[in-house]
Amino acid sequence: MRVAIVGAGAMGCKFAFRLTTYSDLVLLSRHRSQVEVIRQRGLTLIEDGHERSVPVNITDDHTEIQQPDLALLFVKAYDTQNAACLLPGMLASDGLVLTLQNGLGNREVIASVVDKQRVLQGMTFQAARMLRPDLVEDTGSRGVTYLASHSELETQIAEIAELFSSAGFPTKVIDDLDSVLWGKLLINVGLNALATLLRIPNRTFNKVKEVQDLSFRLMDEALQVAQAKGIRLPYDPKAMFVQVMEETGRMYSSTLLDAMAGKQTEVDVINGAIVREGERMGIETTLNALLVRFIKAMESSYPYRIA
Amino acid sequence: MRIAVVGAGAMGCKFAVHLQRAAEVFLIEKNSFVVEAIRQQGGIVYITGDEEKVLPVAGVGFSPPREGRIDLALILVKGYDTLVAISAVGDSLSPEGAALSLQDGLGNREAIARVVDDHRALQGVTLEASRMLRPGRVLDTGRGATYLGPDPSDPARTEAICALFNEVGLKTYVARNLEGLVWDKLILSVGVNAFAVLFRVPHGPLESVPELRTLTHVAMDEAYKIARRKGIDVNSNYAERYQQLMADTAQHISTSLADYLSGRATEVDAINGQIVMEGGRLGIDTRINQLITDLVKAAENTRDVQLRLKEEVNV
Repeated sequence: MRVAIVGAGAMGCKFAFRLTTYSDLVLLSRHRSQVEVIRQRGLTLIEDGHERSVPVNITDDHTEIQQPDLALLFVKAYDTQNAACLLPGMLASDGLVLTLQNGLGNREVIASVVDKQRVLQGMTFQAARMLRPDLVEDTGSRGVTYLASHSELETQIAEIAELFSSAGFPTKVIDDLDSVLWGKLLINVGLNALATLLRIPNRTFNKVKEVQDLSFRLMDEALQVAQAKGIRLPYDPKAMFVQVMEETGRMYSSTLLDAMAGKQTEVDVINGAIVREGERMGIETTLNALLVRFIKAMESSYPYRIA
Repeated sequence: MRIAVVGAGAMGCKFAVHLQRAAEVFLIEKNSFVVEAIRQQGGIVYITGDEEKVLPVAGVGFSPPREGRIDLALILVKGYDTLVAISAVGDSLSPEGAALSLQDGLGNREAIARVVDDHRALQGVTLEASRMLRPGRVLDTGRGATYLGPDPSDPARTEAICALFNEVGLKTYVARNLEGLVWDKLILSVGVNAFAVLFRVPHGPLESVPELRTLTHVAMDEAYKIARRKGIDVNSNYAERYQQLMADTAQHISTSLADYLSGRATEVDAINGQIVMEGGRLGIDTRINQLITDLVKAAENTRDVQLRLKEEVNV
């Protein structure tokens, strides 16, 4: 299968690292310096303290990418629109686009540019973080990846699932993707914005009551929206939240790391998505709306931070 | 007059160096390293412009000297320390003596009145400014008037305090509308301190960054509505005054942010927390103050695990 991975951040690199052995793969980066260093030294993955490097076909010129059967989108949500615009000119005539990005609304953005019959939605519990432009750490490899079923694309989706699974990403095709998508979203709603504003690691959410109270209040609003939409959640989100914060205790959320690096966060597709869906369903999401405003204010004041 | 200035912070030191010119001033401070520093250098190091002076006080310690009574206890500790402060000096007050709070925020006079008779707990507000550079070393960062509330129980006492303050160069008035002045200052603080802490920025961006400005201004709007509902005579031009103040002091680091970064508590409870409490009683929406209070308190309780800027977050 010819695969193009669009976005060479932590997740894009991790998928490229494992998929490149099993497919004809090209990784699209925005940064010339990253392309140069990976061409020179290959891409390195750290897993359980062990480093391994593989050569990966990487470019920063999308016109060099020839007719992939699958474009896998791994850009940050605020770049989805720009990345999606490259796809129509790139894809094979029967090529597919798959988003495994965080949050809600990426599929809709892509489908506004690409024929929506060719846009697949998935969700992954895989996790990674970038240490250098050519060095990525695997911070969670056991998580399942889900692909939404599609009656007219059964064969192709099965092939993608098989490719992922053989490359080391256990993958399931399911009919009710919204269930797992919202299941993960609920956790992110409680975690990301607060971790980012307070600069705290995941374990703190279980240890400091004021923080957990805020998380649960954010999740309560999201739960009401999910219920109104008739989403069947795969688990009790608060119990799962406590469990995930315990298991990933030492980790920092991706939006927090972005904020520390002075980059825009993905809060728009997490708490922001709850606000938008809440408006559509006529449900108040006061606290999520406020948190989004606070994060926006924080992003705009990065250049003035003194500590 | 024998005066105990309680709290050897920036403001306590500033008032002490002025008052020692015409009164016997005892500086009362709970932190031994501050007491030691002031003793060792022989007084308070006070810097105005390029002039630096060491100004002695009659005494510095945890409590006033046992002999002799205190005529005035000037309370200049942080809001959360008011009870401890007044407890340290309450017993030393002379029968006609009074305790005067010039602290920021609300509820300090009431805390004082839990230890001394209500009619001896006085409130004022000051627009003087100063910054502590090191314990016992203080920089004058701005002059402003001080206002004392009218005191029907003993108008002569308040007049005497007012006269003394003016005599030592602290421009002071007895203000009929003290509550209005307290709230004028409080409304501005509502837009400054907690936001500076959470976003870790100096004064300027609180007004100049549009996304931040809408938050600080809505927080002040909430406070202003409460003041009006309470029938307090406050100025309606707080938005313009805030804009001017943040522009004039753009590089200034709020004391709350400096405190927070040094591991000390902020005064969010006496500022934004008070707005939330009053809002709850009066049925006024204070959602921005509620959230900023919750977040700053959460930030205070998680300080030990927070990521620091420029720390190697990737490794």
